[in-house]
Amino acid sequence: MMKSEIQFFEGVMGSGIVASITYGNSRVIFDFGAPFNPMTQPYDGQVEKREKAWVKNAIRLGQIPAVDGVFAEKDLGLESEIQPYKKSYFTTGVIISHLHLDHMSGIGMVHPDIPVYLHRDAHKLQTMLDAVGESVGERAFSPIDLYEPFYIGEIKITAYYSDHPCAGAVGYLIEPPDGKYYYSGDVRMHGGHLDKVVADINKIAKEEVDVLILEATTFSPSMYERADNEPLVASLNIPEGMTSERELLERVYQDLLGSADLGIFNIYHRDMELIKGLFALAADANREIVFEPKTAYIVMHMLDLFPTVFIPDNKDCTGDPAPYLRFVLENTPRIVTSDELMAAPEKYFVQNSYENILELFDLAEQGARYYHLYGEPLVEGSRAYKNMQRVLQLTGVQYAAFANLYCYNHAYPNNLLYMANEIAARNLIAVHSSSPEKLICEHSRKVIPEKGEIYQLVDGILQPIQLY
Amino acid sequence: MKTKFIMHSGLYTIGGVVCSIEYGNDRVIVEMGSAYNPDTDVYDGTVLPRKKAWVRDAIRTQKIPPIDGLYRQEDLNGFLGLIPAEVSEKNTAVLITHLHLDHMAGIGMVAPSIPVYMHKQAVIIERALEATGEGVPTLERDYTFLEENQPIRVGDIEVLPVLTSTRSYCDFSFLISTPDGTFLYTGDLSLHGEDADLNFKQLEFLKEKEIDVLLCDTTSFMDEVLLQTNDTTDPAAILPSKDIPVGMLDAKDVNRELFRVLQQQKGLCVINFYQREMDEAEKYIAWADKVGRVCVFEPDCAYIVYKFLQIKPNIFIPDSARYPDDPAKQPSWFKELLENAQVVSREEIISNPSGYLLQNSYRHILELFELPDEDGAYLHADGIPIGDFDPSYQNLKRILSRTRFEYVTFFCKNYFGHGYPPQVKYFCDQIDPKVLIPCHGFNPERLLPNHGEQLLPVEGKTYILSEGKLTLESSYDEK
Repeated sequence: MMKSEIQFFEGVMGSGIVASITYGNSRVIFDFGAPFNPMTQPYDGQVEKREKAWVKNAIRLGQIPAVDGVFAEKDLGLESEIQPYKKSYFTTGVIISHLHLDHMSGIGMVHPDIPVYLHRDAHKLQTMLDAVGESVGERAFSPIDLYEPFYIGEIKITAYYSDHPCAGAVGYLIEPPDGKYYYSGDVRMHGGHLDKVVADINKIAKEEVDVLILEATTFSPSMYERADNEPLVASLNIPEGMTSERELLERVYQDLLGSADLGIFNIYHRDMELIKGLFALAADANREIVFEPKTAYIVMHMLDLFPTVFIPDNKDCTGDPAPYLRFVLENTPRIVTSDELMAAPEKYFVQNSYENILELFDLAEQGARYYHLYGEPLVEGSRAYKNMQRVLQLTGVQYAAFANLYCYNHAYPNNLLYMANEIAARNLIAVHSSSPEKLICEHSRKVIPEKGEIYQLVDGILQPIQLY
Repeated sequence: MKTKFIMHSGLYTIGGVVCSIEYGNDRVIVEMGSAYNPDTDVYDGTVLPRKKAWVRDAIRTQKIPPIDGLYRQEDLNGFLGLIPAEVSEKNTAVLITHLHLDHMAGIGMVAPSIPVYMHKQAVIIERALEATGEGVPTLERDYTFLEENQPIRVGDIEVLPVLTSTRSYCDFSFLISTPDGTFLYTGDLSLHGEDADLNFKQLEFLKEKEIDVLLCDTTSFMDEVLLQTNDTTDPAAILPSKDIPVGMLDAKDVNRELFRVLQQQKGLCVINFYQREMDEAEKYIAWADKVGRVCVFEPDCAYIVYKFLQIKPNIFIPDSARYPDDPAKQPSWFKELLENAQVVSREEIISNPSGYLLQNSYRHILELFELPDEDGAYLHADGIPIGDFDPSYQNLKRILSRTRFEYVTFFCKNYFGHGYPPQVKYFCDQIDPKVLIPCHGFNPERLLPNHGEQLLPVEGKTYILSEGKLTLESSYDEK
């Protein structure tokens, strides 16, 4: 009997997962993103992307791995050592867990004849992102639903619920004829949907999975060391000093309560769960929530909510409006001006993205509180982060980053151990982590795959094979 | 009436000198640039410039200083209570020494009713830059030409442009006379460049003028250069000398070394230079010709070459959305260039790498991935990112390290574009002003006068010139 094989091209250490599971000529590639490295990002705002050579350059710059049989010959060039799609032996499909860039920034480079599967909500969000100019390359997608199996060649795939703030986040049960693999995607227990997460963990546990590929983002030195003094105990609790998303929003609410300042938030507008929470928060705080046009467009389509809009003073919002902007202008109940915001700052809760940070020169004149809720720039020490700090200082806003240090968008270490214990797969591969070796489950055999090496499932055990 | 002087900015920064000299309602503003700080530039490629608030934001981010009577009413919109140009009683003129951004980045924000003086050749280059989208952010406005030794009168103030470089856009220093005295602003001062002889000749002319106030470029007085030229940062150890300090290079040395690389390198030579330097472009064309290479430019630079040198340049078209294949999508400047240039294809370069000298700007550095790099050299000749102080410099080095191009530079190591400290000291001593204002440097205080007084003015404060002294207006006694 043939044996399934797994190979990690990227993502065991750090972010940017690209891996494959094959069975004969059937191949599933799961996730297709670039590692998140803002400190060494070659596109620094000055260096331009090359139009025709973008795929070749992405491979050369390490932004996407050199996987055979995925890219078009015209994108690789005739002299490339990478096998083009048309010459590939495999029937390939790509499955995407969610629309954070480190999981999908490369999907526009995948040959158009290779199907790319993602959850229906994620597909809808991608369409909105395309419309507001955040495309990763236009292509067709195959939308899927939870618990509805589909096949890539002989490999059966089923999506399960995963609580991550990005719309349509899922994990995948991947079933070649000889075994079962579960890839968690990104997951958390503290986003307000614990019951659904636990219900699906239980379902997966019943499948008797051979290989669990579990994200372990929070097994980073800064996070893990907080609890390092005590042995890790599997639980669904939130560790001391950490917060849930609900508590995070509660903190912002408490901070705004009774304040005469303008409330400002900087978010990642792919995160629909957080946006829903902000709507509720604004209502509770008796403030009108205001969005920039791009986010408003996404919110209108994804959440069927029609918020007030503030139009930034930039090139995108002047002249003949782009279709997304026209839609927003036609559908918003109200456009609020900077004068109105400045006249009654205590009445508003306003989105401000990094690209429009200079708006704060005006908006913050009467006092403002800036809530940095996972919006770019995220990495302290990066050029953009330092720039953000400088501008905030110039504008005099009060900065509050409740998010980055105390509330991850990822399950805490004890939560991950709970998940690993419950699923109790025969093999455990921790991924998407700076310390994957630290996730140890007593029920599972620990495998830390070498990048590029192929592992075969032999009698339920993953074993490296030699390539000739 | 008394002559007033204000140093608006540029005392402690590399570039960004903006100062005004007033007599009654007449006012001359010298330079309108922004200090060169790539590490802290707010526009990092993600932050979007605002359209209506562009001037206010430029003032807030210290790209231009807050000056009454200089900017348009609609741009200020009451900001800081500044008086708009439209209602100002001042008779103002803005004068620019040369076309470097740290001397003129803000000229496009000056109200169009106020004349901005630049040399004709600078205007040709600026207009070509504006056409390709590389010019300063600007309103539709005219520039007024200034010429060597042709005095410009601004009411009771007279400005004499003194030519200090004949290269490209030409450089000037300004001799500014009011009824109370004389100011000399050096602009960028270089005494070891290709125009060294001209500068020493001008010095002979200027030292006869009994200058009251000398504003002098002190870029080279920073630690990095001083420690190379003097082994110490002690100002007292900087002794005046016309000579180039031992171990440092002059422009001829740099040229010789660059030419040698070009001659000896077996593969493709790529060069990154500041693409408004048309004398450099002309030199590279001639050098390439001498060693049997063809000099090829990117379209943006080639457009300036075409306009300025009035020749049909060879161009290489990078793989960029900036240069669409579809004629219907091509911007007019690019179409004009295509009709007046010879296109060199990638295949031609690949088939004969040693036959070319190819200009490559940082923006298009990824082109190097698909150019022949065996035995190739990357000549970094003062193009951005110039050095380690620019966060992009490490990115440039990282990208180069993924190729086999040999990185070659003589800039920043043993060569410096501004006058070396002993030479600057010599220049100042020869002028022997009553007041010396060292500026345009991180350590202006290190340039000491021989006889007169050193003044490090408080930026934005008004000083009165009287009997060869500059006194803060608030402490000036009329009697």
